[in-house]
Amino acid sequence: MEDFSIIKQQDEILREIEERQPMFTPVQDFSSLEVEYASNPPFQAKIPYLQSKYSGFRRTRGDGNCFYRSFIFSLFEQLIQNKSHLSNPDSPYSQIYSAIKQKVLDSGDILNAAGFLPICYEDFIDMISAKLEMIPTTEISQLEDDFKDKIIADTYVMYTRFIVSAFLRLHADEYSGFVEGYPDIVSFCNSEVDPMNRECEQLQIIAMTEAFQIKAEIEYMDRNDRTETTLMSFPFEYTGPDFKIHMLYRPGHYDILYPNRS
Amino acid sequence: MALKRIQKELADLQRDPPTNCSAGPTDDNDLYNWTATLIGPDDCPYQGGVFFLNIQFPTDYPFKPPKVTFTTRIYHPNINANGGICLDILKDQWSPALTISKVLLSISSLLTDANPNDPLVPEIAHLYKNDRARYDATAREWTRRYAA
Repeated sequence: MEDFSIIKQQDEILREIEERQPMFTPVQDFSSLEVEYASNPPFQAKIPYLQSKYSGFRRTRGDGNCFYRSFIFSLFEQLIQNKSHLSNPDSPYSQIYSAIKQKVLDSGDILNAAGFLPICYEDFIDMISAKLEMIPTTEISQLEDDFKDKIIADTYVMYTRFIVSAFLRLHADEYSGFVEGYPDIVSFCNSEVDPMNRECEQLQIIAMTEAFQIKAEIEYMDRNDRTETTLMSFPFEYTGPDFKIHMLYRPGHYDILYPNRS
Repeated sequence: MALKRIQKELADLQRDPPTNCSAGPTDDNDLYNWTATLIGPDDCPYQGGVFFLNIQFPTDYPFKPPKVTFTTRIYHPNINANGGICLDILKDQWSPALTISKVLLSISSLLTDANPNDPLVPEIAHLYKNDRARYDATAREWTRRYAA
């Protein structure tokens, strides 16, 4: 019975988080971080640096899906924000938009090759495809509304989990050395990628950015004594269009960053 | 999404049923409530037994796992007197990438290979580890008595 009670506790914690935190807050300035880290000097010291580069951030729910959800939301948000450029083939937004639409169309074959069953992934691909097609006539508020609906928000998240999992399964030779505590990539994906609410580590971030061929820049805020956050870029080698997803990492959690307009 | 997905899984199960398993709605008017049948696999004390299970799909299926319980009594270290099953993919290892068909296959494997190190019924697990012959005999007896 012990096992059942641990699961119950985990469910309880998750329910509390779901009640307390929205999927996404509106974009906000960093003043709430100043309050949060009032008695935490190493984190406090890095806030002015963040303020110098970014106008604000959008908090996402800390339910273990934060990286996946922030990534897909930011991708859609930037495309919607720049929808006037989508018909201009020279615009990076248009190039990313075309590439992503094609990738989503192709993803059924990839997921199938990775061993997933069509009945499991079809509905996810269908929804993402439909949402992508609607981008030219969508407003940010509609995207925000999508992510207030748990089923729709989880569908976006699960689609990205499928893609990350398939990428790792199909590139097992390259990545099997990086799965600590698991005998192979398949058992790693079964336990750490495929279930919802399972947190993302660097391997999943590499897989996500490689699979989508989208650059993510992550500002790492941690306990070191510097006054700057540490910037890391994924994938390690990227030569695609000038398009980036910006995120803030604090131990165990990712949020979306909004750079200053240059 | 839940209903559409459940319908797809039902069609798939009817087209290509997994070995020794069958499953479908208990009542045609309620697709969220199924009954499954599992034939005890060969080479285990449950061999030949006919076990019934109840499957309840949550409204947020497939994001949350189905609730699966044995309605036929069974003597097994990972299945309790209420029919509750201790199986990782029915709990924290559940994923929308899994199906009822895969769950039934995993339960069938659990009958062949019990997991006494993560027991739901410690007394049965103790017997399984320390007096396998008596465990086998009791499991066979229960199968004959309740699952014939």
